[in-house]
Amino acid sequence: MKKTIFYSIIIFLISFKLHSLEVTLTQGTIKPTPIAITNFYSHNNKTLKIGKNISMVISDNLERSGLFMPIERKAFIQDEESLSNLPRFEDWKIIKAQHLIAGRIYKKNEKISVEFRLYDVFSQKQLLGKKYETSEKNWRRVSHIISDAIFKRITGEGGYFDTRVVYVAETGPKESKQKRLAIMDQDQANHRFLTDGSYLVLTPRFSPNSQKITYMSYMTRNSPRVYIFDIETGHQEIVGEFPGMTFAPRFSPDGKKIIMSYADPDVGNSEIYILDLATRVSSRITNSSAIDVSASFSPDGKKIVFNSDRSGRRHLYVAESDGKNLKRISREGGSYYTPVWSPRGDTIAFTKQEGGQFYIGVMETDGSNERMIAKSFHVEGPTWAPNGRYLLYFKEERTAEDGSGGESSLYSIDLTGYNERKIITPLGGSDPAWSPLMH
Amino acid sequence: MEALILKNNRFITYINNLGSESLGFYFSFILHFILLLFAIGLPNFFEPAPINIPNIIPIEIINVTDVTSIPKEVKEKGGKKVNKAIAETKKFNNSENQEIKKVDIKTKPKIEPKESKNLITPKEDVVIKERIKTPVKLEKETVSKEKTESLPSKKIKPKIKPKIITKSEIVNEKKISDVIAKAQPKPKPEPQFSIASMLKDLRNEQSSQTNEKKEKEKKSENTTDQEKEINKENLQLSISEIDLLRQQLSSCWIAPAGSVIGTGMIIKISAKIRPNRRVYDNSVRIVDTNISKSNKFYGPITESAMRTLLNPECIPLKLPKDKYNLWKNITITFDHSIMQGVQ
Repeated sequence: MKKTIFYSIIIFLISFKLHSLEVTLTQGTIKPTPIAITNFYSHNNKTLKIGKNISMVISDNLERSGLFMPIERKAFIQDEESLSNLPRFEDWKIIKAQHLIAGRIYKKNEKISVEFRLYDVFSQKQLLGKKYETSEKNWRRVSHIISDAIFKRITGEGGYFDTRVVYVAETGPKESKQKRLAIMDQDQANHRFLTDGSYLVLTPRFSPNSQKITYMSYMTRNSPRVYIFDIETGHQEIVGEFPGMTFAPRFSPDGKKIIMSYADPDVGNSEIYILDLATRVSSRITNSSAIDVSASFSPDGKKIVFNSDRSGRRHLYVAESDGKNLKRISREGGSYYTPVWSPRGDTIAFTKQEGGQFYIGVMETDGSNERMIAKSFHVEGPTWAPNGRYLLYFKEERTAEDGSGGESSLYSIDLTGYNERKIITPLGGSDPAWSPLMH
Repeated sequence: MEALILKNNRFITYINNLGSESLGFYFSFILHFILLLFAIGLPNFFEPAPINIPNIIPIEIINVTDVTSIPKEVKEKGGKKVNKAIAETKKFNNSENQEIKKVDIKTKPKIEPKESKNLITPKEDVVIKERIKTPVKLEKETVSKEKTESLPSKKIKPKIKPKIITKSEIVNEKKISDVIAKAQPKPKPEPQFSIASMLKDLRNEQSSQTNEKKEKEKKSENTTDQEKEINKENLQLSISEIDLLRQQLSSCWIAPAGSVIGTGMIIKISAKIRPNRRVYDNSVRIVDTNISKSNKFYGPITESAMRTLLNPECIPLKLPKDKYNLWKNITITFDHSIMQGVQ
């Protein structure tokens, strides 16, 4: 009897099978994520205005990324006041919002506290909730920080909104352009000039803490030098006295060194040097009869990439930070310039000239998978966003026979080559540099 | 406790009493069994049995699904009915003829004419031969003429050939009078009382009866076959049904914004579906994935997969209501090998 029960149980278990329909999907929809960004609610009319501004900045940031599609506010069914308690997800599903951002803003003494919540409308869950306290004048920065948090939570990628851009502002005719250092937020807000234009400036680069800028200047007309500019104090200092020209500087990832090119008059060509900022001692990294310029550190500081004409044409080379294990990575035709190592560490962006055209391209650090993402009569100077997903560069228009045109402007583009956008600046712009995240 | 000790003792004494050969045999048997278990593995009785779905290239045109979703039964039913109708038309004076014809007209007006044309031709020959022999021809012809006017289906052809006969006999005044008489709405012509015709009628009746029996048998066989087919088809979803679902799910699967997806990344999710074709709350789960949790895109990629079934555009799911048992549990594999360009 027991045996029969035992066997029957076994047979039952064997025959007990859960039927399940299996479907394999290999294709999905690639489109910007629809997101509803509501005005941050407040009982106070003054802070209510700040709340509106914050949501506006967040919306613009996310839209500019090309990955999000903010939904028109007129379509919202639920109002901000009731939303500040609990969202009615069905109301947001109707307008096809995939994510919802709601927030509140309070004022305590001279400070404001801004809290926001990010919801997944489909799964009806809160994905993120944070609160920030700051002075009222910092509302824009808080907006960028919130944008970064949202961007990171949804995409998994670090944000890039709480950043600044330094560039060379240009005015005047092509032969005698006035060039000034200018700085602005990544959304072009808070624009200001750092130099007065009385001397030429080129190739500004941020320090890792975003507080300093190194650049090349013709402050002393006959001997261009590398300088460091302190953004907060406005103080400028020369990095070292060299008999020849120093140019194309960049900070090391730890901010303690500067890598630059130095044209020693005794040698006659330019080589890569690393200068220790604490000791002011420089060390030569490359040693060849060729011109080696535009060096850039890898994110871990262990490697460098630069361009050299040692093979006859300008190509990209990767070496250890002490110059050993030198290896050419660019293999295609054309000339390569201005390589920049991605903050992700997996890609190198560069300028390429071939067949009368300039390109902005990217390749892997071993030179594979080279692809061009922007092309024009003259494009140059790529710089990475801190998340390694977006690039800034400048584009110069062709000069007409009558001398008109020839203006240069800044552009941003996605790593995939999509979502190219012109950056609106008060004057023409070139040589942009994107700061690391400021929070 | 004591009982346990006793049992243990008994077991030990039993082992002690065993001969070395039999003990060795038992140990070897147990060891082999354990080895086999390791080699084959324990069966997982609760593992959902995957339904074998043929590898189909997804079709984007929905029309294809309409065509393929036509149940096979319908086609076969139609075909069988036509055959039956043909068989019935062979009979003389069969009352079922009209009924069948009506059914045919109602059901499939497009398919039948083609098939009936092809199939009717041999019948015509038979009918003509018989009619030529018997004087009843004219009456039948006229009757058939009337029928052709009213019913454009299978009786059209039997009437076409008799026309030749009427041409040759048109001269006879009798025929004219007959035709006039037939033009009146008499349901059936008056029977002529010739012995031959009587015998013929009897034969026909007998044959029709036997045929009817056969047909009934055939019908019953057919119905059982059809039921079996229906049951069989209910056991699996058709290609078009799966295509339709796949298309719907693909439109609901929004690739994770900005995520870097590596080659061959796969996520398998399962969910329980309500009979109203909506997902049960909190039933969507990740069954399997080869994406490491340390990957910074793990969250966005898996969330986008799980969100697919919650997308309002996928509510309700396009699934056949009558096959609920087949889709009450669903497993979706998101294969990113083609989506790898998404960054």
